[in-house]
Amino acid sequence: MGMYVAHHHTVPLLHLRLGKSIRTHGLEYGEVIERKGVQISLHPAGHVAGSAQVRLESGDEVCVVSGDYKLEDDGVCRPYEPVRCNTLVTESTFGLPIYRWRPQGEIMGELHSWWGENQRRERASVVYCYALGKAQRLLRHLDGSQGPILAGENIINTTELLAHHGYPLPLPRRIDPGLTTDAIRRSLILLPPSGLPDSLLRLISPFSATYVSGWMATGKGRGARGVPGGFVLSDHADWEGLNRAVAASGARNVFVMHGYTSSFARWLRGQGYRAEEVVAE
Amino acid sequence: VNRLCMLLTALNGSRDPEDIQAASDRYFAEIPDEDLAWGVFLLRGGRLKRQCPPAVLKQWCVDTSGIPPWLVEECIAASRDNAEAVALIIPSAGQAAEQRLSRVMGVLKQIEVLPVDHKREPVIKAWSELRPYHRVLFNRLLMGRSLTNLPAQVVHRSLSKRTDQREEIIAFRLGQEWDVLDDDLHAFLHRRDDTDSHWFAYPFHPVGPLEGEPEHLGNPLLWVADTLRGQNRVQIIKRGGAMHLWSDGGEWMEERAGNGFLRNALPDGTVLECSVSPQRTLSAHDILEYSGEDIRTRSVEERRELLDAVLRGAPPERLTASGRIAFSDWDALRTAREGIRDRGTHILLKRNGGVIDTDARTDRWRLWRADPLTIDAVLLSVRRSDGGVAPPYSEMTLAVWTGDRLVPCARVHPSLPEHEMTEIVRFVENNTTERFGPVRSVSPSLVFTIGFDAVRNSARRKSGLALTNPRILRWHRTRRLTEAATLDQLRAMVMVETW
Repeated sequence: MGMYVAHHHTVPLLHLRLGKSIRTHGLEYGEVIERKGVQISLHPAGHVAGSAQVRLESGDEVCVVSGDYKLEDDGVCRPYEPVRCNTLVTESTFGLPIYRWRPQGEIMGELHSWWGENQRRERASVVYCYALGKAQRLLRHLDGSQGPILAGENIINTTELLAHHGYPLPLPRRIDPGLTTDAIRRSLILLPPSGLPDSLLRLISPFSATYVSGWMATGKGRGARGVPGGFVLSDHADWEGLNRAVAASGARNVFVMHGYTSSFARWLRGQGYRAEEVVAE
Repeated sequence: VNRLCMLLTALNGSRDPEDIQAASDRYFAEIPDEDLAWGVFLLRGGRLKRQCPPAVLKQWCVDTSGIPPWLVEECIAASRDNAEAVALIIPSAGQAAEQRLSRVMGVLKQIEVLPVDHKREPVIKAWSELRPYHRVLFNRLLMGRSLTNLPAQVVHRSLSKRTDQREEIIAFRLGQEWDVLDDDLHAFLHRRDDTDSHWFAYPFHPVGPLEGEPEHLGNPLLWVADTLRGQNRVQIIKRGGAMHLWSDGGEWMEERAGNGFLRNALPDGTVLECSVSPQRTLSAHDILEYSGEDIRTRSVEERRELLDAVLRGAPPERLTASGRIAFSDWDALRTAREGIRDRGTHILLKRNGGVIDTDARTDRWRLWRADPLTIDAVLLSVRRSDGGVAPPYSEMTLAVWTGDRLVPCARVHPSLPEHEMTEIVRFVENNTTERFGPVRSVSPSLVFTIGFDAVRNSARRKSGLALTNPRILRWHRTRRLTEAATLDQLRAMVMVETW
């Protein structure tokens, strides 16, 4: 039976999502293990808590598989560190030059003023975001003195687990019928994209909803999620980030996977790299 | 510009009228006086002259960003909006300072008169001074697009709060004679005019569609049913010897529909609510003012009696009373609806004993729409969206047979599911026979079922017919080309006047 090798902070998350029966092996960043003559180590990818780039070394060849990553320090997970290599396998989720992120401080400022506006109108503020990563990033930077911060079950479980492993995260409150109407109207509620069961939705209505994601950068992305507005904040590298990461790796061979692979590979070839797209099965 | 951008972002995709009004109110409460006129202009859907073609904009984007043309194209494909893609591609050096809307509009007006080549420098300079999302707005205006299709009424309501002027007066003045470059908007809206009281309209009672079957509405005895000749509602106002028409969109309409006839027929101090048929005849179904008295709080039955009394004098070829259908159970109404000879007649359900109240949230009237007329028609050409948001085409032209020729009969918005649109895009790419600007003619082979509310004669069109409110109902994959409708079939549907 196979085994999951992951950063030791990811191990409890694997158990949370895949069950207790899986076999795991937790590593610290930079710790080297060897399998069949290949030295394997994990390095911070800055994507979400425990996310890692995988460095593989055999003889003269060093290859790094980036996985998902971002360059901006989100204040929750260990920031991305460039790893030198000959061959880089990079993601390219946002591998087009229309995707250029603004600093998270600005986005958080706008999110707070949106929340404030909803409070003035006595409506709850619902923020749809991924339960692992974005939710913790928001919790880390939201100002709890502006109003109560609530969240869906899934987000609370994930956050509790990470807080238990030493991440300095404030815990949101559960959405339950014990909350006063006034508290709900002033609250900001983090929900996974799947939303809430109807009974709880009724409890928090009326509310204004928004979505926090890199896809909010374009009108098409906003339209596809069916919520007005939207805040552009991503845990993936933007166009500049991808280019900087590729340059910092020192790699001459680049394989591109996920997202706008063919565009980004073609761009890199134009910049003098040997670049190809990887079509994931 | 930032406030406008935030408003547009908030409006985008918002369907809750309360949210929309609140966002608009907030915008108009916050903007400085100097931006007010442009804010009103843009939010009422105003647009500037188209200043440069998309290809030129793309070239300037390539020049300033160092991104190769093929990659710019891919960005446009991903965003489906070239104004947006170009705006986002251009790198920003730090956070640009906030620009006044009036200043940005000033730049746009200034370069409006320049030849395209001379616009390059000012446009690139403007880009460098604007934040990415503000550039989106700038580019849209540069390309002659409007920014929003916010109902004018929402803008008028917000402006009313901002300027302390009555909503009706704002709508009237803006609709009639306003130019954004005119003098002070405040002064314009507050200009004293003794005829003011003569033309103001009442707010329209809210109407919602009847969803599902009428049984949802409960006891049929609690409802009355009036027939409507079209979905557009207007108020006819007769005061001080003059006649005014207001649409339910809060727009003042020029004298039309030959209402000179009506001037003598309606007594002064009368306000009626009518539906407008495709032939532009009016059919009154309610009365809001009688003998100069506001009677909106009288019951629906009382108002009907007064309406009938007033209409005894109106010339029937222009204005009639709408029919009232008597029914005691929903099946009876259903049967009556099926028995209505004229297709395109809708039914408006009002609560028995109900009053007219703009803020009636729960007591909306319900519109039971007529089933559409349908035909099968052949796709002849598409018009590419002007870099607009999805779908990729802004218009599809469909045709019917006359002999062995196809004659265009309707232009419709391509409201089809995304996967079908993708297939159609591929079809168009492989079957284009002719290009003319953004229009692609294709070899005829796809058949669609289209629905519409009415057909009328129109000398201006090739087919000699105009369809009212045409829309695509579905892509009819199994229909063969030869099975599409003929012009004669369409002619047979031309609505006959029955009164």
